[in-house]
Amino acid sequence: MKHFLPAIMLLLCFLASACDRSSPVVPSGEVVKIGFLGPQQGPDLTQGQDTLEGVLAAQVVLPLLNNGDRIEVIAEDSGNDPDVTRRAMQKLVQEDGVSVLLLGIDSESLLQIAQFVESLQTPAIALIATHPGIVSGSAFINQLCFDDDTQGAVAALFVRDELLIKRAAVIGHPVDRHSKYLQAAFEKKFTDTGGVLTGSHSVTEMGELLLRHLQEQKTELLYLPVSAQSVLQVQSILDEMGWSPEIMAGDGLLASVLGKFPEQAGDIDGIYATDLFSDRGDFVRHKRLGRAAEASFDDLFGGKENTFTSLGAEGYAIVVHAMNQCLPAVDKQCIKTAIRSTENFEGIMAKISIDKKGRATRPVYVNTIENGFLDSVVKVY
Amino acid sequence: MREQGRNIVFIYSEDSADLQESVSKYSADMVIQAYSLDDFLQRPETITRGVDHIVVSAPMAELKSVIRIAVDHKLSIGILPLKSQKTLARYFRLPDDLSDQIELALQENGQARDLIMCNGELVLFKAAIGRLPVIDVPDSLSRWNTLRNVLARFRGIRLLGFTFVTAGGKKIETAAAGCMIVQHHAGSLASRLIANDGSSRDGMISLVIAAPLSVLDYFLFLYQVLKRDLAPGNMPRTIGYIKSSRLKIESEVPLGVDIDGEATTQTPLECEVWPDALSVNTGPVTDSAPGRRDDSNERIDIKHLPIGNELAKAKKKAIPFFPYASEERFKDLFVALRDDARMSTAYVMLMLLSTLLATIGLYQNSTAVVIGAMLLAPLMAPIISFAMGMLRLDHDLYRHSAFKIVIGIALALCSAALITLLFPHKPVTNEMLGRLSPSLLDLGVAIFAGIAGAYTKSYKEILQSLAGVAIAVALVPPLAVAGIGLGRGDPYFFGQAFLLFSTNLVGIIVFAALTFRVLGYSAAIKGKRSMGYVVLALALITIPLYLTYDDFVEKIRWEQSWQKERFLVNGKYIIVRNAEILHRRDRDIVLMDIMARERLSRDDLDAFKQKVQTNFSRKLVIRANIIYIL
Repeated sequence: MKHFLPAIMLLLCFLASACDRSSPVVPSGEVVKIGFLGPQQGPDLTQGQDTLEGVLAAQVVLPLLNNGDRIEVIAEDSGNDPDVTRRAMQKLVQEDGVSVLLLGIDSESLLQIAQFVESLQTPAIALIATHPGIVSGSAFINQLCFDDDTQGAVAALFVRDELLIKRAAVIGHPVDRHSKYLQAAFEKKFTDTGGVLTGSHSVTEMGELLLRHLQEQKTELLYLPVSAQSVLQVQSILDEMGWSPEIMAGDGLLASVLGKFPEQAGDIDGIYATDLFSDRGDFVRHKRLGRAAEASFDDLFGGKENTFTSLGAEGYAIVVHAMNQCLPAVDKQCIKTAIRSTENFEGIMAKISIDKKGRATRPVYVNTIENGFLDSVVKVY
Repeated sequence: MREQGRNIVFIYSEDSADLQESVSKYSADMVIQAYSLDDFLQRPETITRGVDHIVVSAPMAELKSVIRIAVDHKLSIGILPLKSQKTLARYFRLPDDLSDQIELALQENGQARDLIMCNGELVLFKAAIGRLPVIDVPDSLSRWNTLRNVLARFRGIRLLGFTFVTAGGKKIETAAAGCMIVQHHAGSLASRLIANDGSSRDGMISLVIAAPLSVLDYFLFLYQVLKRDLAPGNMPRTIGYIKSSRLKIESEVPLGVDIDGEATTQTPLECEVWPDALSVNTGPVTDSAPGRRDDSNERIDIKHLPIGNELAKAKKKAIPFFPYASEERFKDLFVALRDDARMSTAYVMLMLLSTLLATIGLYQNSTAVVIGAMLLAPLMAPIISFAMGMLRLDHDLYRHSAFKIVIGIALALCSAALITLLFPHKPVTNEMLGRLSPSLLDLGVAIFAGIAGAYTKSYKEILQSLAGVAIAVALVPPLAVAGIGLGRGDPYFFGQAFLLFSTNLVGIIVFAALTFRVLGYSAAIKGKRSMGYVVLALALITIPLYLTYDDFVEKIRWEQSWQKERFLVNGKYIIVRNAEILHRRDRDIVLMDIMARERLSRDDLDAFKQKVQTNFSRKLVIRANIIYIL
């Protein structure tokens, strides 16, 4: 009896560990290529770099396709200019022979080259762009993020039904199509649900005068679908005025602030923001991919993952998943169809589905920003 | 106070020769003659002739010789301690300052003190025999030094046979690591134990006996020592105490006897008291009251020492980890356990009544009624008896109790099944559902209930707590639910509830047996094979419990996280409140309250269900209570 129980325990442990193992993939010697395109210089440098780092972290986790083909990631600079972006894209597809494109480009830039992507007949995943126009009418571009319709509606409904706020004002960007779209989506849903819009303004008008006016209108919340710099600017004026309405912003705010203005990260504490992930709270349970990518990211680059790095890792993993259904992964039509058949794919923190029109369905996290972290408030499916 | 004309001799040793000058300063008031120790011991008769008082400063052995001479010649004595004789100074409460010491030593009015003689040797402070862990450690040592000292002495400790015979003729045969005659009632841990019992003039010998029956006892005592939790009169489990005017001590092998720190003689040891034999000049006296000097004052406190059958077990090579106690010592407990194991009409009636009550309570979904049934249930007692029977390989005890348990289980299952068959409606209530998902936490409850059950059974004074244990572990309700499962013809229902009952049963048996073992009711687990089967059953039960526990944790996490989960369905915002998940054989049931501002159509609800389903691998049934925000 003395040795019997330990023996049983050992046997059970062995069986448990054996059950969890799958047979390893043997390298075939062949190479398939995935192209990455994102800003590697200029004002959007950090979002381009972060997204690429996420892709590379996931590549360490998934280096081979199921048939043993090695995956090579070729990165090009999108250069903050549509022509540069087009040339880089052309090089990736025609010279390097990539099978899929991962695009770490924002909505505005991507909308400018969407037609060109179509002409290359190569499936692409927009990693960070949320404007619905990116996928509408496109057969090859797919979205990884939820779109601005969803994001705007969730923000408006959260404000109405959870914060119980009736009076809100919106300040958007007049040129940025993503910002304008999100502004419109919020305003529509907010007013549809009985909310009172105390102002709808452009960030170019923004100053103490405007904010005083909104204060006089008894505005309870400011919705700011604008850049990180503009949010910081609004916050700064509000601090000077001594007025502290609730503030809500769009996705990627914290990642942008930490990337571009890390010393001002404390200024956005307490702001609500819709996002694709959360750092802390009840929902923060990384799936298998999330845990592996997190470890790999830490090994490669150190530091903390953010929204952009996570999206990079997810995009890469979805592409690999699709390529594995089209082995050998050279048939771009097959890969495109496989991407658009993604059903409940386990992303970093939640399941992702991509429909036939290339639109992603995934939860929206409403967070508050505290000390450089996204603290989850609610998760909206 | 000094009187002229007194004849005093001052006896000095090599170490104290320089005191002559200091002492001679007082010769104006009295006649003081100084002699070297050697000189004095060679011709004591000559030197003490016409002398009223002796003042001595000498090493311990020589000091004792001088004291013997003083006693023989009925002379009072004053002592000037050497610098190294701190214990002596403390014992006689001598002042620190030399001139105060000399002044005190020269005084006339000496205090009477008993002397203890062992094998003809004078015992001033203590006489130690054998190994004395803990008790002869100086009281003044720091906790850390005490711990080091005690741990160092622990190695190789074992008990030997001892026989003690008192002046009253009481003969005590026991086993001990060692014993110590304590004359000086201050300074060591032993003296702290008997601090209020006796004085240096009570005509008695105080003997403290150390008998750690197990490693556990030893360390418990050590813990008490370190915690400074030693109250006089409250003897720890490892200690015995004898007080008598005469003592004879014999050991199974001759043992050396250290008297006042020097190996002087060996067992057998005969000790007697010379009452008030010594007149000595001491500092302020606190224990000078003479006691009653007869045998009626004799005291024997040996309830913690091994006796009878326990002696053979105790005198092993090394002390065991757990203690052992004979059945005679805990006769009442064993009588009670045998009673509990015996089948009786009352047991059958109570089992039937408690099951019927529990079954109806379960159908009523009434927690109060179910608790009432738990209190009424008599199943705990035979289970505890079974544990003891198995531990001691007491065939009668475990066969009778096993039979009683099986009958109880059969009665409960049959009666609950019968009621279910008779009931026209068979609702599944929350009280029933709560007993269909046993997990490791239930095993935890069973473990602690087993420990508590055995513990409360062991001590009469806390026996009333057994009702609380019965409620905590709740044996009959799971049996009743299993019976309901039989009545419904639902093997899942039966299986889950019976798994819960089995968890409780096996957990209680194993841990009650281990508790009895720790408490010393058995020298070893004798029923190794039976215990092996029960432990194997426990291990097997643990597997489904572990899996269920995983589900349980997941369920709690899920229910908590869903308090913050929302759904955007066809542009409508749905807030989830109070989500609860119930795992069933082939599906999961989600009970939830949902809140929405806009009216939800069938399409909305279908889309909502579809979204919820994506979080589950198993088929899902959603029961939603919709609350509209108006």
